[in-house]
Amino acid sequence: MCKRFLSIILSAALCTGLLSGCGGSGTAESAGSTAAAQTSAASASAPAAEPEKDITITLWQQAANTAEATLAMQQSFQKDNPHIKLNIVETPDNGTDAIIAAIAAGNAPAAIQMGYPTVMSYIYRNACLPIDDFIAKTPDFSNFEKTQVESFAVNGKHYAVPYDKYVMGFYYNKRLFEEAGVTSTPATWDEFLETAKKLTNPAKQQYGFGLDAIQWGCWHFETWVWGAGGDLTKQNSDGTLTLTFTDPAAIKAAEFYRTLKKEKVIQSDGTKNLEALTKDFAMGKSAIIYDSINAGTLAKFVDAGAKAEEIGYFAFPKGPSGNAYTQAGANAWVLPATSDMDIANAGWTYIMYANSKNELINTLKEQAAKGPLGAAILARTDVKVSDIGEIDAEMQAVMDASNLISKPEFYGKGAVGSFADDMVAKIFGDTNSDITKVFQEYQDKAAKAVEEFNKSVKESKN
Amino acid sequence: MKTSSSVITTHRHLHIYRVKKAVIPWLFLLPGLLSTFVLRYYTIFQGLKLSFYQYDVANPPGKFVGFEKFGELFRNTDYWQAWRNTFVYLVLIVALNFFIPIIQALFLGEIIKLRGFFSTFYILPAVIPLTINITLWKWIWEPEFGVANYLVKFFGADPIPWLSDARWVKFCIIFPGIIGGGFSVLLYLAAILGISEDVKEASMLDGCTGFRRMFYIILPNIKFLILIQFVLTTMTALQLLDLPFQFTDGAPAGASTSLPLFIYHYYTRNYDYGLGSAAAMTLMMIIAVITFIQLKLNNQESE
Repeated sequence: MCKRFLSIILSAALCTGLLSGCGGSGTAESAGSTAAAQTSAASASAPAAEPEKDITITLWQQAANTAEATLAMQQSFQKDNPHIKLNIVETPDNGTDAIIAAIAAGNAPAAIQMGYPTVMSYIYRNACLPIDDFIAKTPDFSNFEKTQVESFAVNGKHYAVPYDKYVMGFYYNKRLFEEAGVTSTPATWDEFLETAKKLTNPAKQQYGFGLDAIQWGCWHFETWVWGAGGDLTKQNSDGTLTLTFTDPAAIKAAEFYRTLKKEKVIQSDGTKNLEALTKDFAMGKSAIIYDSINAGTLAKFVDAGAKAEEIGYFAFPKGPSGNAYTQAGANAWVLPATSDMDIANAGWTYIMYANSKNELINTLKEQAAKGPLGAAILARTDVKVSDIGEIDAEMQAVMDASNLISKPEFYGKGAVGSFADDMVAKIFGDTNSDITKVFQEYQDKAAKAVEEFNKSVKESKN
Repeated sequence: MKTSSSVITTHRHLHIYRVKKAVIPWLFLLPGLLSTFVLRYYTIFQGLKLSFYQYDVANPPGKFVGFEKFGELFRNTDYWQAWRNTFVYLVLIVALNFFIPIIQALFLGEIIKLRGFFSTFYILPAVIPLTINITLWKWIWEPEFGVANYLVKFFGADPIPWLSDARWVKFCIIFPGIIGGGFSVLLYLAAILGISEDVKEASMLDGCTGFRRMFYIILPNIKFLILIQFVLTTMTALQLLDLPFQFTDGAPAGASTSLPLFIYHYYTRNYDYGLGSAAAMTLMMIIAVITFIQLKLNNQESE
């Protein structure tokens, strides 16, 4: 009987093995080599710039990112840095997830581009290398805008090189607005609801607003909480974190989500993720969507089938608090924590080259040759988009308006963001659940993460 | 009379033969054993090890925390919701996808003329890639323009949000498996056709025909296969990942999150390899216990 039980355990183990082993496979195996390498890079007092030995670095790049300026930059990088060979590979579909696994396995790309929320989440998990030593040896870094640079600082250490700032706002389909007889964009939440109602037409399988609540749910939700006069977390004077998931403003925002759902002005298929919602907007199935206001996002919609001339923009409407806020963040480059010294140096060289004044101007010129430039808040202070070419005035106006009411994501998102995501998905998916109870439940769940976050804050000060 | 040297030679040949006989099978087994160990058991041991650590990606495996991750797991309400969902999936799969292929095979075994056609008919849906099948079914379940709600409205009922409705979502995910018995039908049919003609003829002579023949002759003779399939179905159901992942990724509000999907999310969203591994270990133990009980019950019945 014992033998049989053992054999069953083994066969069950085989079945579940891949589930448990896939994510972690290779992690311990790589521990020795990568930990040692990470230590060597992290403890390096200064990047070694002088001895230029041959090295190959891997970069993950989106397949679509084959802009001529990028390719030209990479070619000129190779010419100027013959000792660094670039190995460009396509970013995996699950890019951000795959990076953690790649870092653990010791084969992460030398430099990685990510958005603010992901960077913060990675910093919290020790996946990014502090870059203060590199910054100190790079005079050109003084040309990067300080607030953007500081937004990636945690406990006094810097972790990322920003390359553009984004502010969030609403995109809308002008044609659908016209067909529905809507002549102005909404300025308050109530007007937003009324507008979305007018734009919902089940006969045409058209809905008013594509609301993302199930994928990175708190990313958009926090903006509604701000408009209701509160926040999801609080930064204490000593830098520690307190959760305020049950803030009355958060409850109000959740109730508004449910109203949108109850009034059937959002997607009827509640399982649609951001990608599906983007497609719906691009195909004219939804009339409004919340996203970052810049040329890149506009290009994303156009690539998915939208007509650029039909797309308009408006800033976040005022909430019950009488104020409107929107979210700002930055896209940035980071060095993975486990890069060895040579790779980290080469990765840094590439980042600074790709973000140099010359290369930025070349990229903008290429874009300007194709038409009006999209509005952008650049990370470099010595380059202005308006100096390069004509700017899309409508986009610029909304971006400027949104920038005035923008603020960074809630404090400690890197540590507790996944709990807040699940919390939002829960109250959105289960409309019978008690909002306060659910929010309290997830606040309790995140308590351990808060404890660890606060511990690291206190340790950094000692 | 053999000389002593020829005796020694014969003994040597005999010895070499015995060694070869003993060693060669192992040499053939070795690649399989090694790959199984490296690709399967090694990952399991790694998973077990990780469940005792607060994983640190920069310095893996991180800080040893003992059974802390298991405690954290058992206090997690999402974990228990995932278990409840997993058992509902198990019941649905057994009810919808396990018994029906047996019935289909029993009837196929009774016909001769169109057996080949129907065998192909049943197997065809199984060869369509899963992703395509799921994409098609997501359109069918689409609340606004899907065929499912078209039929619902045709019969005068209110449309149902299907995949967005916590009450329906698990059914919607499992139901497509009912269409065509796939490979299981062919397996059962092969077993039915393998039953000795003597047994079948003897039963007919004794007046055992029709449904009685199915219940008293056919089913007992393919019981061994039904049991194997039942054990495999249970194991597969408890490890259900691809269907909920592709249909809904756990939505709405975790109503379709199976335990394997819960584990996957903890690996890829929370990057908490320790907690994900702890959950995987508990799943392994439960599958082992359930399988043991299934086999034990079957043995008792046989005795």
